[in-house]
Amino acid sequence: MSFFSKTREVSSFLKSNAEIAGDMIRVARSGSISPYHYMKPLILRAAELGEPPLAPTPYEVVYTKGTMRLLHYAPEKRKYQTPILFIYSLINRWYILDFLPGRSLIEFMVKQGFDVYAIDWGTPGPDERQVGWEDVVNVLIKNSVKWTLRKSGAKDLTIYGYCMGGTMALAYASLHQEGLRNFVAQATPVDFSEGGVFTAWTAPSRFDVDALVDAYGNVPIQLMETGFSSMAPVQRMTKWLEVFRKIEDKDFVMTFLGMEHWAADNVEFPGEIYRQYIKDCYQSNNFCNARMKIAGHTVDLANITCPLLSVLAENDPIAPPKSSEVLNKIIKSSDNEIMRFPVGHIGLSTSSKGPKVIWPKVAKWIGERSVVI
Amino acid sequence: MADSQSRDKPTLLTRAVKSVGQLLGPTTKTGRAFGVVEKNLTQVIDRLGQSDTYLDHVGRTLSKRFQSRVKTNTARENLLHALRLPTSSEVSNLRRDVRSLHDQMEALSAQLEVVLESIEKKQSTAMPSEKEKSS
Repeated sequence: MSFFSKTREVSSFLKSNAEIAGDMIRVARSGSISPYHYMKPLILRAAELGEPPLAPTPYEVVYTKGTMRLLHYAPEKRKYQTPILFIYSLINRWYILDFLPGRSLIEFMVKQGFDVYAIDWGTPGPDERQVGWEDVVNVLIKNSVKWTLRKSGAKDLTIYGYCMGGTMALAYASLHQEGLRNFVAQATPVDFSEGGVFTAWTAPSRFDVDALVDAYGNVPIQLMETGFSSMAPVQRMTKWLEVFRKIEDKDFVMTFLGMEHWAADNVEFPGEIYRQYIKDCYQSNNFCNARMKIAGHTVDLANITCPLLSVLAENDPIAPPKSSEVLNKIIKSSDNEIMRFPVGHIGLSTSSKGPKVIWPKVAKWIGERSVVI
Repeated sequence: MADSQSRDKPTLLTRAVKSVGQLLGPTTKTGRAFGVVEKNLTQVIDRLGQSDTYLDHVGRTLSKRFQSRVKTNTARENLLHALRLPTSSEVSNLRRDVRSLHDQMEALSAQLEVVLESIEKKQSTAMPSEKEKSS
C-alpha cells in the first residue's frame, strides 16, 4: 500500500470517527438510554450498510380511529376466503410482524394466499390517556373486525393475537363471538400468576400503579425502556460484541439492527389501559379466573368456542409457556392445539426458524380451518 | 484493478470494530477473562433482580417519586385554579370531549361511505336493466 493510500485510509477513519462521535453526542442530548441509538452510527458505518428495510410488505390503510390504523395486506393470488386479523401489543410497534424481507410473518401469510389485516396502534399521546379496555375491546378491535369482514367480503375471520395483543384479543373473543372462525394466540400471557419477573416486579406491595398513572398520565417511554433493560442489563450491552465480531456478515448485522431498532422504538403506554392491565392481570390474576370486567361485562374465556391454536416460545421470559398453556384448558373448544418452538418471545416472529419451521405449521393449521376460494 | 481491491478490502473502521469484538470474544485470552466477568456479573444482577429486599426498595423509591410528582401536579393545578386558568386535567377533559366528537364524526363518515357504496352498487346494477328496457 502506498503512503498516499494509507494516509487517505487513516483520514477517512478519523473522519468517520468524528461523525460517529457527533451522532452519539446528539443521541445523548436527546436523553435516550437505549444502547441502539448510540451504537447504530458506528455499526452502520463499520458494516457499510443502510437502514434496515423494516415493514417491507405493501399495505393500504382501511380504517383509522385516533392514532390506530387498520392495515390491509392483499395477496397477489388469494387462496382463502377467511381473512387473518393480526392484533399486536400496545408495547412497541406492530412491524415486528412484518420484520424484514424473507423474515416477515405477514409477508409469509400473504404469500400463502391469505387476505391479511393488522392493527397498528400508532404512537399514543395525551389524547390516549383516558382510553380504557372498553375502548380497545368494544370499539377499536370490534370495528377492526367489522372492517376486515367488510373489506374482505368474508363472513368470519381468524384472529391472530400476539403477546398483550393476544390478551386483548382474547378479551374481545370472550365478549363477541360473532364473526370469529379461528383464534391463534402467540406468546400470549393468560395466567398472570405465572408471569415470571413481571409478576414479581408488579406485586401490589411494591408497585403503586395508581401513583404512576396519576403522576404521568401515560407510562413514559423512559420508564418502559428502563423496565425492559432491567431484564438482562449485562447482555443488553455485551450482545453488541457479537455484532462487532460478525461485522462483515451483512445479513447478520442487518437482522440484528432491525431487531434492535424495533426494540428501541418504544411508545408511551396508554395510562388507563395500563392501570387496569396491571391491577386485573398481574396483581389480581383476574383475567384467567373470569373476574376481569370490561364495561360491566365479565371476561370469561370459557365463552370462546372456536378452534384455538396456542403458539408458545420455550425460552420466553415475557410470556412464559406456563402462563399461556392454561388457555387451552379454559376455552370450550375440542379443536385446540399447542405448538411449542425452541425460540424466545420475539424469535417467534423474527427467528430464521420462522419461515422454515414455525410459520409453515401455523399457516397449515389456519389454512385447514379456513374457507378455500 | 487497484480500485476493486480497495473496495473488497474492509475499511480501517471495520477492521478496528472487528478487532475489539475478537479481543473480547471467546477465542482469545482477554475474551475468555471478559466472559468470566460477564457471567459472574450476570449472576449477581440476576440474584439482585429477584431479591425481595432490592425490589421492595426500588418499589418504595419509585412510589415516592410518583407521589411527589402527583403532589407537584396538584399544587400546580391549585395555583392555576387560583389564577382562574384551566388546569391540565380540565384541558385533558376538554381534549377527551373533542376526541369523542371527532370519533363520532369519523364513525358517521365511515357509515356514510358504506351507504354511498351500497347506493352506487344498486345504481350500477339498475342501470343495465334500464338500458335493456329502453332498447
